[in-house]
Amino acid sequence: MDPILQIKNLKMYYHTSKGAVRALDDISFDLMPGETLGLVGESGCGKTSMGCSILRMPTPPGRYESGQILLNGRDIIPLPEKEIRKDIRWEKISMVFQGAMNCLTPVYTIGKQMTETLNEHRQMEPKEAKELITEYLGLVGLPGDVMNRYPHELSGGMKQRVVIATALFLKPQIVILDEPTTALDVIVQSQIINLLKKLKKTFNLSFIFITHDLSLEAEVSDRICVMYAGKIAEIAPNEVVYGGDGPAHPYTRKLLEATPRLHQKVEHLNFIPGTPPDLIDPPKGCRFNPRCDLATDKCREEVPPIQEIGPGHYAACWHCHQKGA
Amino acid sequence: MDENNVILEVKNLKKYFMPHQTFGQAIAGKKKELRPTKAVDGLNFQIHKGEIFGLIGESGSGKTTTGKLIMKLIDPTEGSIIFNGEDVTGIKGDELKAYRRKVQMIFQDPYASMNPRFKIRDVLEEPLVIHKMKGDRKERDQAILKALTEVNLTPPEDFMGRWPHMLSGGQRQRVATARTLILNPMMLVADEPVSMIDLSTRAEILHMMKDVQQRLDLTYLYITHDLSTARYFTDRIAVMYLGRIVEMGLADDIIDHPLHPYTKALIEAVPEAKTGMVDIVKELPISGEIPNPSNIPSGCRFHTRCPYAKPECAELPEPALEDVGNGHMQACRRYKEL
Repeated sequence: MDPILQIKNLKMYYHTSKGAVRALDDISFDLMPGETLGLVGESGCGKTSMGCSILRMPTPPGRYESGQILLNGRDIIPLPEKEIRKDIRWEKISMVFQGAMNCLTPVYTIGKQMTETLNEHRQMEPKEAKELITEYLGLVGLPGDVMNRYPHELSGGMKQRVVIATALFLKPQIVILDEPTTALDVIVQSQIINLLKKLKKTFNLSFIFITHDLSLEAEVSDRICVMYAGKIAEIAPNEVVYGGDGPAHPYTRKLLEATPRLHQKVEHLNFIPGTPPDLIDPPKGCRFNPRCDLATDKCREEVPPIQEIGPGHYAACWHCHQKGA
Repeated sequence: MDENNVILEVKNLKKYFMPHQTFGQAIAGKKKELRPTKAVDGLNFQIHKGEIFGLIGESGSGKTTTGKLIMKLIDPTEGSIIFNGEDVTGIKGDELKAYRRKVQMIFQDPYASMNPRFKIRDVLEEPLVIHKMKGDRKERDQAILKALTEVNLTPPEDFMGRWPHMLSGGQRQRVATARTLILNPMMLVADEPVSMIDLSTRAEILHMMKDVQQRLDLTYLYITHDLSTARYFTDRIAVMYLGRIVEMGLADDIIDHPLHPYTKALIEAVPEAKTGMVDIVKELPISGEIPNPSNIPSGCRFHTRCPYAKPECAELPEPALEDVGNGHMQACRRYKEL
């Protein structure tokens, strides 16, 4: 099967007055049809930058430096904005933004906001549009009369469902979910996750699921991609990260140790001291070396390449070796 | 446990918010019956000296209102708050000021709880000035240095001159903790202190708070919706639903052997870092969303969402908290059958 989305050596820098912030530095990964790829990392690791870059709208002053974003084999970076708007954005790739609950306009009804998206892309009779919106609201488990309500009349979970419906109704192939449940309670979070799983099956969607919560990724993602300081630290299948030997990269291991577990009594939770580095002037060598226990002189000098260390398991660390070797 | 050990007791605490008549209603002259929003509806609990007490529930369960009531930021509609043997429900003026010195609060959002135009030194100095705690600037500076060292912001001299925007979320929350410690309080109310902080530093902050608590023999009221950190951090947990406690007991008892169906649902909903869950749609033993607190269901207030509810649950009066041993209390009529 061919990947639906291929990112090849993508570099995206924010050009600020202090210098270029290397938010995405040589990122490569594939996304298969019907797959959920989890993007994990601390704040400031480039997760959201990645999401916006795939939609071809890096937040100014962000600019693509090099690399390709291949959607069904076609590079979308050189395409004119008009074509992106018409054919790609929301048609092929859509996004549920972080704090999605706040991205609804308080002055319009839900129906009006949803119709706006629809009018922009499809010529449709108002009656038809209404039917389609009712259908999609039903899909996300909301009654049709939500259409006539204002955002403040809905709870956080309901607003999140509206935003998911809006992201879906042009039938995209890829949906990028940027922290879709962060502001929600555990029960609502669990309901939304169930909804996403059902929708994924119904429409055979591919998801890119961005979060900082590794235990949430365990429930949704087929593969986990861990980012650190604008680079990919590790890509591993779900069963490698959460089962068996566990992840290979020290950063992933530390993140996992810092995740509180409900069903284990732990006296001492580990944490990662320090903060992610400044991306204007990142540390030499491996970017994780100042916070890593295993760091050696080699780590401080040379950038580790990302290499396959097991089937479908890639890591960028001088201390990760091929299994069995 | 020793009765004298109780630092804070809350008795039948209620807070109802009365809605205002809308402009339209006033003009039309219609007398519409106004229903109060019952944010807190009959709370009873005791917090013992030197313990970390967790208050858990969804948004809208009234946990933040409870925190505000205890801080005396709002006045209760009914009931009483007893702190250190004294009734503090109706205190005013100097008494209130003295109470606030003993009970301090850490807020959820470390980005909003600090004046951006105050340097860290000023942020920490303000409570001392308000409470007229230290005589001159030199003494105050010493207290500030001590508080910063207490929360591991070292070297403290460096941090005193910084502005809040120069600090990370974790460091800000440390400053917020230092600001409360500077008054030598007896109890801290922490309202979701780590929910805005990155997962990798969350443990660090909780660890620091626990360390401070043990060293200074403090009592915490920890308000959160996150069960996993509550288990790690707290000694006892009370689970709130629509303004009432439905289950209360030792943290390990509650999480390993929950009795109330609501607690069970909350625990079930927490994602777990284990493999093999991707294709499974978890069946949650709860449906819908939390009802409007101005229209609380009859009988057991959880019956509208409870998968085990029977007609009797809606008809009989609300079940009270009942002790099932080891200080474990729960408020479900049918817990034995479930």
